[in-house]
Amino acid sequence: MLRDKALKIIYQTNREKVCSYILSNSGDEDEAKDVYQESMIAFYENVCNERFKGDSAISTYIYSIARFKWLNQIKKRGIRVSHHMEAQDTEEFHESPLVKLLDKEQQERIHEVLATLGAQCKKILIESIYHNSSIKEIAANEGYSSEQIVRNKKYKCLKKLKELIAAKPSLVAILKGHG
Amino acid sequence: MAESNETEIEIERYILESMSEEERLAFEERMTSDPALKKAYETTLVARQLIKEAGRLELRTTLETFENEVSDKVVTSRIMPLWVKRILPIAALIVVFIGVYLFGNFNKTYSGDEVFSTYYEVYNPPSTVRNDDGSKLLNWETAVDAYKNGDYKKAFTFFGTSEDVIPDYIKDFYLGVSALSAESPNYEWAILSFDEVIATDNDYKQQALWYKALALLGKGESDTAMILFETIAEHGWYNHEKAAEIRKVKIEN
Repeated sequence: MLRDKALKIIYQTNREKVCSYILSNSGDEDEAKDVYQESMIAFYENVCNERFKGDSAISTYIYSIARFKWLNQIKKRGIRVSHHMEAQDTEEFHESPLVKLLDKEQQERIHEVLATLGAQCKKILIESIYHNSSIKEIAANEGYSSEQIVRNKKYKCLKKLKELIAAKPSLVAILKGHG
Repeated sequence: MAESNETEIEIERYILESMSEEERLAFEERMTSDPALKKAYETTLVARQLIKEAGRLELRTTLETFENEVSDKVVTSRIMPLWVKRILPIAALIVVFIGVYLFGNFNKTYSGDEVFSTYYEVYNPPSTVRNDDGSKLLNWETAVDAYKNGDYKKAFTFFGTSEDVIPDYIKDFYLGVSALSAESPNYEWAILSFDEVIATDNDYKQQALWYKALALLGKGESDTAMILFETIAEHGWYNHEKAAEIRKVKIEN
């Protein structure tokens, strides 16, 4: 898929710069990878919802997100952040919802619901709601013969998902708390 | 209130802020007087949040595959001793020579099995992946270990039951290669698995085409295999040079 190819290029191009920054500022390899991946996700979501408008270079933007996240993380840990490090925190990245992934148990509960929902529904809803793909794009990429079929399917799937969620009040609490 | 597509579309337009000011006020007014509509709106918000989390997790898995490719490259370049680097070009020449000797200069007919055995190589093993909390993906890890140790029967079983976070195309690809690498290759299973990979656009598609073509040769369907080799050679896809070599070989049906 074209999207994955583009993401792969961006991922591989920026990885060294971001990870080197974290490694040279009290982070280890796992932390560098985690912060980098979360920054990539934040970048991607900001592209999808048009918060990132291309005013700065992609590399600068991702680097800024990663630095912002890493500074917050080490501050929480009580590590003193030097004035120099904070002063470097550039202007390119302003407030944006930061990605905080669910813990393993929460992830499993989501996977349970999605498994009941079925692969086709999951695909259509994730494409439409998460990736912001249009009905036309979904129809073309997934080989549906008409946009109307996709539209009907999408709302049918959404209805089914809402029924599944309604049967799991604890899941509602997790998602509301994470929204 | 029965939820129709129209209601859902309306709720979506409200959430995405694509209503006019007038429509928005009217919708909010209706929500205050219609508890069912309000409830439908709230559940939609939660459903959308769940899908966003699911999309995020999927994306994280995709990024993890990119990460593994980077790590594999780093590991490979680190562990390759200097003498291997020096000898590689010579080894490549010898392989080409053997290929030419076997298939190029003799007007002999070969069986699909013979060509399969000459060209078949087990694909590099995948990397082990961990959950976000650092815990292991047990089935995936067992499959990868078995694959690395040459226990392809076990690898086949465990790739087939690997955790959901591993993308299907990766599982299917390694299922196919495991089926082909077993002591008695199961060409049918391999072809079915590679077909699954080929059906979608992904990073293993070209490799799956190459292995499917080999599996077809092994199965005795050399005509179909040759069409695939031709496609691979013409497009310059994975192993296209080898595909071009195979096309010159006379293979019995």
